[in-house]
Amino acid sequence: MKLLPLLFLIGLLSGCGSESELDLPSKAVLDDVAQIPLLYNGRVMPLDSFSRLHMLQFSGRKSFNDEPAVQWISRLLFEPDTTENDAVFLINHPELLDAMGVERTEEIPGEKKPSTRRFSFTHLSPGILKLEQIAQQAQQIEEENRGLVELEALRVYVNVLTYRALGQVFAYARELPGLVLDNPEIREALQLSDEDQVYTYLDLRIRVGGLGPIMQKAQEEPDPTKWTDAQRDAFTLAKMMFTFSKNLSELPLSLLPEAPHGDSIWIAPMDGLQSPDGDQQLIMAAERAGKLAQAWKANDWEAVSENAEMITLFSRARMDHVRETALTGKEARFNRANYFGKAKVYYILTFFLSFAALLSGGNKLRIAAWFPLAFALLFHTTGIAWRVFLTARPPVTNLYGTFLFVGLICLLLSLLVEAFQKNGLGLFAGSFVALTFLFVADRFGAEGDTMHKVVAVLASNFWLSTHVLAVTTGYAGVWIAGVFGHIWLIMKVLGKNKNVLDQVRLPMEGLLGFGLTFAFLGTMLGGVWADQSWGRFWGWDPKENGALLIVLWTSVIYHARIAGIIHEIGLAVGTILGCIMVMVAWLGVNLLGVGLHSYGFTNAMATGFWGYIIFELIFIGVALAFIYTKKRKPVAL
Amino acid sequence: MPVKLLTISFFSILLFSACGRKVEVRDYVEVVQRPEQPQTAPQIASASTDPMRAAPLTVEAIPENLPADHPTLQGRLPPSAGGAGPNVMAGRESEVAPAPEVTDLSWDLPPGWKENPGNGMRIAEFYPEPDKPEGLVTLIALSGGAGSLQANVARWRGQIGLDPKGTSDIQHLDGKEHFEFLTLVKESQSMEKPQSLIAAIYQQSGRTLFLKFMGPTEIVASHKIDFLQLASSLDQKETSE
Amino acid sequence: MKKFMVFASIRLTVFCLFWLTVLTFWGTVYQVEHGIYEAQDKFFDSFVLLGFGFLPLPGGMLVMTLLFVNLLFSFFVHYQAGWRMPGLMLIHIGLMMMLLGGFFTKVTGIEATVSLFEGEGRNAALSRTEWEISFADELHSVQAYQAVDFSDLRKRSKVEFRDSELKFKVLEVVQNGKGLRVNEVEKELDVIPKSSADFVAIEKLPKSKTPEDHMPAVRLAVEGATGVEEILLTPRDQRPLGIESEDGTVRFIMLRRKRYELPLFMELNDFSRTYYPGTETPEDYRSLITVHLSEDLQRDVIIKMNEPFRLNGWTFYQQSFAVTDNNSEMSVFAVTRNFGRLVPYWATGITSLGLAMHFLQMQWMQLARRRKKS
Repeated sequence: MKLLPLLFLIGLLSGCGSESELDLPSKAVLDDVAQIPLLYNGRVMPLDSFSRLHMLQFSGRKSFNDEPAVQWISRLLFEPDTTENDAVFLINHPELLDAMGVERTEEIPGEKKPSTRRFSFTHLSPGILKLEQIAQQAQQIEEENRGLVELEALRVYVNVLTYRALGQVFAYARELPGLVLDNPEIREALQLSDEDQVYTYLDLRIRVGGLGPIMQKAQEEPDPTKWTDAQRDAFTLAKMMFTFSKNLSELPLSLLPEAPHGDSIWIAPMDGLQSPDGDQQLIMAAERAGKLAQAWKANDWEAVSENAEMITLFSRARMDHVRETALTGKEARFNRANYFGKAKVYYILTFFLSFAALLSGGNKLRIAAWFPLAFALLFHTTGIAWRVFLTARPPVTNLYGTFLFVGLICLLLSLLVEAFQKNGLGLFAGSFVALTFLFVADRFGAEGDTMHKVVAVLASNFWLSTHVLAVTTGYAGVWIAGVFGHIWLIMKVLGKNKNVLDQVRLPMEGLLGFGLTFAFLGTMLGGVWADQSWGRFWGWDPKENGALLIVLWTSVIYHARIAGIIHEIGLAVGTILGCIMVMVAWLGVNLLGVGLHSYGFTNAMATGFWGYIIFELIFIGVALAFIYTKKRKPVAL
Repeated sequence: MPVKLLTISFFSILLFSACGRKVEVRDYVEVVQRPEQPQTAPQIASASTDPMRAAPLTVEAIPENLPADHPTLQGRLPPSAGGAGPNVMAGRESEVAPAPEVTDLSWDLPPGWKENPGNGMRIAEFYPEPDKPEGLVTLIALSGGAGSLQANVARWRGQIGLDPKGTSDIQHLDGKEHFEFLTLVKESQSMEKPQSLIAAIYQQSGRTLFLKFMGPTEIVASHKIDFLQLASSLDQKETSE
Repeated sequence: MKKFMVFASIRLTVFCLFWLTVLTFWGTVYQVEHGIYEAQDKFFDSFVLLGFGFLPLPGGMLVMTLLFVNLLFSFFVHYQAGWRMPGLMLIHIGLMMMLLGGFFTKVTGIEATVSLFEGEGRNAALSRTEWEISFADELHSVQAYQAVDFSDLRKRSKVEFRDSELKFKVLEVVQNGKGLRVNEVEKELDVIPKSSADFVAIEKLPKSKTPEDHMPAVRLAVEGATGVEEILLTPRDQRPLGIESEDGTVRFIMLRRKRYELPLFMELNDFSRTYYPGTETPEDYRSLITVHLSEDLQRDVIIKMNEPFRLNGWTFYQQSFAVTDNNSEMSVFAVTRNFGRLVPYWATGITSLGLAMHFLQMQWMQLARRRKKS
């Protein structure tokens, strides 16, 4: 791939020389930049989301140290050299570093410990050509046969390419220090004043028409050796500009909508500048984007804000028929608001207060626990509501969303129990579950865009929405019943009396019934949706089977209880097994295809899944052991 | 005991019916309309929606971050060693149509005639008068002996509206073995134009060639000589290339 | 009569539900390796399943039948108090409906596909997994066929068609196989069967994960044909095999996917697809077809994702598509006929209503009991 060294060179040319102290934008300025709409991953999103996704992709984190993602990405776009020493590239397998021929650790100025997982471009650059080689070889191997290092090489290579490409998006607005134009005839043709000694591509492009007469005259003379210096310089300059624009075409920042009120084709500003249709508005927008880059580099924050606003207005006016374009500001604000993070904090508070309330048995602590809970509930619900508003879809279109939703339903069900019992149990169980699910959701959120567009088969269908909502509500019911089952077993081990035990058992049974009803309804609605969409109600598909497992299992528990095969202990154990069933249905079916060659988060997901199941089985085993040894006589399970 | 007898007779009936049982026959009519251009076999299978045909349906569908062939990156990776997609060709094999590879025949096209490539069992089509497509000559190859002469004659008689069981004149053509030739004419009745059919049957080892000229009598009559020349020119290509 | 009480036992219910849970779990894990058709066949459509190759265990059909019987009997035995627990009654009525409906669909339902290039039209759908031997006297675009189901063929089965002196007997029938040519066969053959692809023998292949990829083959002995004693048919033949009888008539025979005649003729005029901008994720795909219901009656219909076309108990869904090298698009439709289609809808409604009623009633009774205590 010969382009990379060339890009490298251009990057050096256009970026070097400004290691000045970073003057940083204010929050207001950053907000203006953050809301600029662009097209990525099939949807219109704010630069803020784009930045977070790329930050995540490069480094596995949503920000760079304390710097918001949008700021770091802006630095990458507008003054890329300032990012070259930032340790952003996450490398999970140090063997790759060895293969590239670079050190396994990098010294970070200001940090005591050297970095072992994230590396800067400067650190990696000696090994980049080798990386490319490994990646290209890996690409030739069949997917299933690629080893961990090969997969990592591919991932890192793509990240490095993206990094460099993003750094070049605004190269057209940066000075080209190597370019010297001293031929007076050329200078006059281009209308360059004596002060202009350094030029940007943008400057020249505006003036390049002036070369026309010189070049025309040159073409009248067939023998190029007879050309004047000026004519030769003119051709060289034109050729250089042409090469420049070719090398910098189709860069991965789809910033400007190409056609007014047309199809969703968004292009990089450099491509907008070349607009073959002569679309003046588009060219002006591209120029403005260049000015934005220049303003940022010069730390002229007012100009940055102004230009950012104008670009945003341009795009919104052009694509006013696409709903999301006008919502980028709201999405950026939603990102920043971090509702779920805040909810987590308040859930933790609720958990501790309600735990204390349970232990002490007093009323004051219990009532106190309601306060943080109210906030947690507010943030949690607001977060989900915003997601629904921004995506215009029901809140459960991906795994991330389902965890948020189920967590909320579990909480609401627990609050219902609390409202009847008034003993702090509901608050305790509910806050615990909601908190856990928010953490798990985060793991899934880390995989990429959580508000991505859904595939055709999942879009726009009443039955799908009702099915998923019902089934996840069912999951919630069965799950929270299982949580109460855990609590019941613990209470039993602790030797609590029947009254206390019943206070846990009765909600457990009620919640199980709720769960069964919705799980059944949801499973059957899934069949209805399948029938409506592709012609068969039931196909014993893994996803369908998963939901059916929950319905069957809860039915088994109920009937076994009625038949007298199990009693209270068996019921509690059964609900805990129900929790396992829920996880199997929810996650397990997705893992069925995961074999030895899974990678990254999915592998961690598999470990987490099995780890959870083992934990539950140990819990049950230990609890039963305690109960039996305490009783010293055979106890009906 | 009656139960034993019943069991024995039940199984014996089952046994006997298993061997030599006549299989049930059903009827249907199939209509297939082909598009104008012949289509080649689909190579790239694309998205299927039914979970039974795709991977287990997952509620989330998180696309990969920057797939390796993302079009806007410089320095692309070469296309990867591909895997096979779901079998969308299922159902299109063994269609009546797909053209057999008959590349070993040559013929001399008479002047003014238009030739089209064949479709299905038809090796080629010829139009003696290109602006009058009702006069059509077809060249078909069928494997093995494709029925006795009489059977085919009967069939063709039916095709132009003559009573299949009537008699026809069949002539041998000089110089060619197993080469039969005949003319059929249907006189006009009511408003229809008279139709004619002339055909040449060329029996080769392993297959039979039919060169059939059917259409309005005036076209067939005026191009009969050309047709005979075309038929005579049908030959195996030289195997030495 | 007492003996039948066992069918009403609730322990039977527990056993059936438990075993069904095990089957569901096992079958789901099984399908990863063996494909969904195999799994469905082995675990859910069977009466007996051989676990680990040798242990006979109850299969899905057996369990569901038992469950149905159990539900039915419990009605008469346990539900004297029925009207006091209306929710419970509804649940069980709904479940019985569901099981009955499922059984009905299994027995009478049809699932097939139609794939059309732009400009192509057909009146018959093709089965995804079933095959037939088709027999015709000519090969026109409008053609009457006689056919026998491949699944009916056994060794020594006799096949005869109307209006033909030819008599066939099955010598060899293979579910998944490959045709072999003369140079690929090791042993000497007494009789060389006639085949339009010049195959002389069949090589058996192992069953694949996707039965759609199976290529069956059959070798038949022929009586009454000129110069032919045996024929070999595979779907790979590309051409029908022409056989001449001793009386001079010619017939064409081939092994191909089973045809289901549709109550209409459908013609694809245009297929279009759109993707989310800049991605490979499909947003929408749809086909514009003209449906001919009879000589004079026709209309244009759009079939797209999530919006199928229904007619007389048949439903046509946009299933998928393919694109050839020269960019011709082929649209693939899933076609089903299921007269019991609406039964699950009713059953779901009734059972869910029953569930809700029952559990609310339970909770109500709980609360009442607690209130009495305090």
